[in-house]
Amino acid sequence: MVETQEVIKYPLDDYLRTERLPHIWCPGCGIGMALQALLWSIKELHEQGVIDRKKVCFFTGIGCTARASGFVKFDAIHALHGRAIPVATGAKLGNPSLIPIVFSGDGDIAAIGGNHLLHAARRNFDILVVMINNMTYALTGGQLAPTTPTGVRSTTTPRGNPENVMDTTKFVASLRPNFVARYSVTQPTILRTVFKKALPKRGFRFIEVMSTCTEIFGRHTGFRDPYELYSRLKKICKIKKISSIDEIKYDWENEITCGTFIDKDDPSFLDMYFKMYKPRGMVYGES
Amino acid sequence: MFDIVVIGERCKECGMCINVCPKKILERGEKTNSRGFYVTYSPKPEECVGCRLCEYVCPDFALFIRPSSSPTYILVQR
Ligand SMILES: Cc1ncc(C[n+]2csc(CCOP(=O)(O)OP(=O)(O)O)c2C)c(N)n1
Ligand code: SF4
Ligand code: SF4
Repeated sequence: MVETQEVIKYPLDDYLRTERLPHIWCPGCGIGMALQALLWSIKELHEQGVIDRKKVCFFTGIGCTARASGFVKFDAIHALHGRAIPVATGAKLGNPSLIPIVFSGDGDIAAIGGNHLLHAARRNFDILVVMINNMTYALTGGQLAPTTPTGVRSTTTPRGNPENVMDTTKFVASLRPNFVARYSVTQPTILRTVFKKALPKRGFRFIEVMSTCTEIFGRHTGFRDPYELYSRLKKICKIKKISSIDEIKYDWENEITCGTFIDKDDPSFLDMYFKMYKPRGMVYGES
Repeated sequence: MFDIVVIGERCKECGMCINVCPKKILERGEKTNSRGFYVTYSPKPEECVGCRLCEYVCPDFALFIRPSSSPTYILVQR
């Protein structure tokens, strides 16, 4: 064993506001694992000359996940609850050379921000949305989210969730944007590869990341230990090739289907806009 | 061969690395950091196979694996 005061850098330290670490997330929280995979993908793409990290900007709403904007070393906006997508949309319209990443929770993106999600996907608007789905409103103490599995207990449904659940990936896929995928923090290397694939693409890209909230979701569902919850998620998150989006499942008891469900290269909103309107003084795709 | 590097002040003792390690060479250390967490320790870094599973599941950017000619457990204290 060696103990050292010497500064040995963590490989992603250049992408983190290290002075703010340790971050606020609870021990064993999956958000940090997802963020690690995303930062690796940005680092690798930057080092390969595919993207310029200086063009990357982070947009988050409100929630545990949304606190990520304070820890990453990019220009970042911690927007209003549910409003990360419109703010990112505005930034991209104002400066099309930016690479906006929306990184926020399921409550933020699918619940209060659901309408923005719908229309950004419909427009095939040029942003990457990473939705961390821990199946609850974690920051505010574990209220029911549209993504909370049916039957599961939450602080607002003490006898179990009586509602139908929202499969956000299926919903977004129905709007046919350029990229739709769902993976899990239990698949870290695949997650990194998928981020790398989606980041340089045009159009709307949606990646749902199944994640672990031990402190709130785990406590309500009987998985108090981070590794127990992680193992449970690992068991049900099954990667499959499908022929129709209707086949994917969002079932906490048996299977949450993972995979890349749409990957195409249709003209994006900005492609169409620049073609039809030729805005003066703006060059799309160049910095 | 690999070094197992832990940035002590970032560790929150969640135990994820200890649980995922296929070689079972990580354990809860006996030293606490300034926040009172017992920082992950490895008594046998020479048995590390470099799979990096521990690194991938560390949500706190606290632990990483790097190639090394003399495998060592390194506790960074800052
Ligand atoms: C307009 C508005 N309504 C409600 C809230 C309270 N609120 C803060 S975070 C949150 C839910 C966050 O859930 P999610 O997006 O899933 O993030 P997580 O904490 O699970 O990462 C709510 C309802 C708020 N801040 N603003
Ligand atoms: S409450 Fe849940 S989601 Fe929020 S930091 Fe803690 S474990 Fe993570
Ligand atoms: S790299 Fe693999 S073998 Fe080495 S300590 Fe980490 S989990 Fe264990």
